[in-house]
Amino acid sequence: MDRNMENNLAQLKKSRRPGQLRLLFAIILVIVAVIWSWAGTGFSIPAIMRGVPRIYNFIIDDLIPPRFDSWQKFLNPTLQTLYMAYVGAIFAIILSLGLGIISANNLISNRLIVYLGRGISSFLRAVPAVAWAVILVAAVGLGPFAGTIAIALGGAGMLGKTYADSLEEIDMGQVEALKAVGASWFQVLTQAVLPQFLPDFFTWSFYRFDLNIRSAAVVGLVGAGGLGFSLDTAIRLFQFREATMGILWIFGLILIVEFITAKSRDKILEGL
Amino acid sequence: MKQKDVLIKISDLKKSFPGGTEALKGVSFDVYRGELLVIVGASGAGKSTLLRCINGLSAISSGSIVVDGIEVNGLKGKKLRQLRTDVGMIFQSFNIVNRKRVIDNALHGRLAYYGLRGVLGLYSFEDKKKAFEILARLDLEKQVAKRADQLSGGQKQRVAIARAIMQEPKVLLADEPVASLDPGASSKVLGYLHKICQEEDITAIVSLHQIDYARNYADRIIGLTEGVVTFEGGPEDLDDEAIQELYFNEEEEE
Ligand SMILES: Nc1ncnc2c1ncn2[C@@H]1O[C@H](COP(=O)(O)OP(=O)(O)OP(=O)(O)O)[C@@H](O)[C@H]1O
Ligand SMILES: [Mg+2]
Repeated sequence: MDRNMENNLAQLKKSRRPGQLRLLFAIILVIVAVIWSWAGTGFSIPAIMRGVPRIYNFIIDDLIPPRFDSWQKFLNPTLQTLYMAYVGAIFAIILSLGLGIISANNLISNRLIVYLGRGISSFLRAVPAVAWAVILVAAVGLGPFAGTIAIALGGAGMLGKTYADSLEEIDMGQVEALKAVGASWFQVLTQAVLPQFLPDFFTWSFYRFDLNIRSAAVVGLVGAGGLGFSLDTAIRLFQFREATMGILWIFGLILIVEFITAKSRDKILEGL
Repeated sequence: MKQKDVLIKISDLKKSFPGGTEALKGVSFDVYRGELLVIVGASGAGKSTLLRCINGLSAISSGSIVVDGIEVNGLKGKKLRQLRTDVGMIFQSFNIVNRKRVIDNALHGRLAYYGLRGVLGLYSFEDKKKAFEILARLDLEKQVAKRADQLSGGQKQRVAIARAIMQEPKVLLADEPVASLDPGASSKVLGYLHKICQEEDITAIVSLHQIDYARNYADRIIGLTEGVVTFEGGPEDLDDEAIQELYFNEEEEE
């Protein structure tokens, strides 16, 4: 009995060692990565010290106060940004629903399709919305159309993955019960999968819309319409105080949208 | 039982899982039309696996299962779904759709008879009427419009029974239907199950842990030990010796 226990302890020890080694390895990796990136970015504390007064002067002399009388100029671009974010979210949601479902390994028995779905999501996620915007502005021209598509593609990667992960979390007992009834795949999807998925679906979709407002403001900087585009124009014309006004608009828009999405999300989740 | 009319014929059924576990090692028995057959056996004996093979939720490794003249082994797609309309199933963990109303859950039993309308959850007036009627027979008329997650365990299992009865099945498979319920709710649920199967002339195969329930409700009992049928007889034959064999055999082997 004692010999047995000794054996067990030895085995326990052995089983722990790889874990500790891995932890040590991870710590070393993190340290190396920090040093590497420090050197790579030319990060230097003196440079920051020198930069601070310059930034301060720029803010005081050129940015402040905002040109409040230019507020009207940003009204249409603001609405455009809102539309881009909204339509972009709708497209992203539609695309991601398909992607999410084919990427969920509990819903699709064909491994190949699951890998394909996950692969497309990963690819879309790897390319930021701004990069899509640069490409699309070149392809379809300046304006909100390019921006909307860029936002949709940029958002679909994240949503595709989060949808798939949520779908994989559902209780399969309910799914199996409907299969046992003789229900078809689509019937199982709407009657057993969807009811369980809806709360996560709304949470993630509203979150995506919040993020889209930011994306929509940013893609404008490369010419894809909306507030970012007006901001970029103002900066190019050295109208810095006008640009500050634009930044205030972006700020206000984000706050208001986040407030409204939070409220409507809570309302919808309550009703589910 | 009037005459011994075989509804399900299981012959030399074997089932191995990918890991190498041999859950069923050549099981053969008949199920007669109209009877309530109880399957008993220790944990891991293969009761769930056996039931899941009968409606094709698990694919069998070899042997044959014939349900009312149809070979289950190898059925796929539409044919498999067709078979499942004739075979209701009740689970230990109820497996009703928690976020839907009781009535919707009962109507799920009719899904196989609908196409796209089932996808959208649109059912005929006749089916809704029938769902109300069956739920009332299970004393759930006050719960009809409630969401399923607001019910007690016993009520949930009765909703699951309603869903299965809505199928108008020839056979009902119940895998430890009362294992998650307290004794009071357990006998109530088994009572409903027994009664409704008799009224609707449904053949039932019920796996149970509790021997006294098995004796109470069974027309016939089959005992499984490690994937092999080791007992077959009437409730009166399941005496203490037989139980000893079924549940405490493993210690003797060691
Ligand atoms: N999906 C699976 N993969 C691998 N092995 C499995 C699987 N399902 C069951 N088994 C194994 O098959 C054997 C029979 O399991 P089964 O669930 O049928 O037993 P049971 O009689 O229903 O037990 P319990 O009374 O605990 O429900 C067990 O050894 C189990 O570990
Ligand atoms: Mg079981």
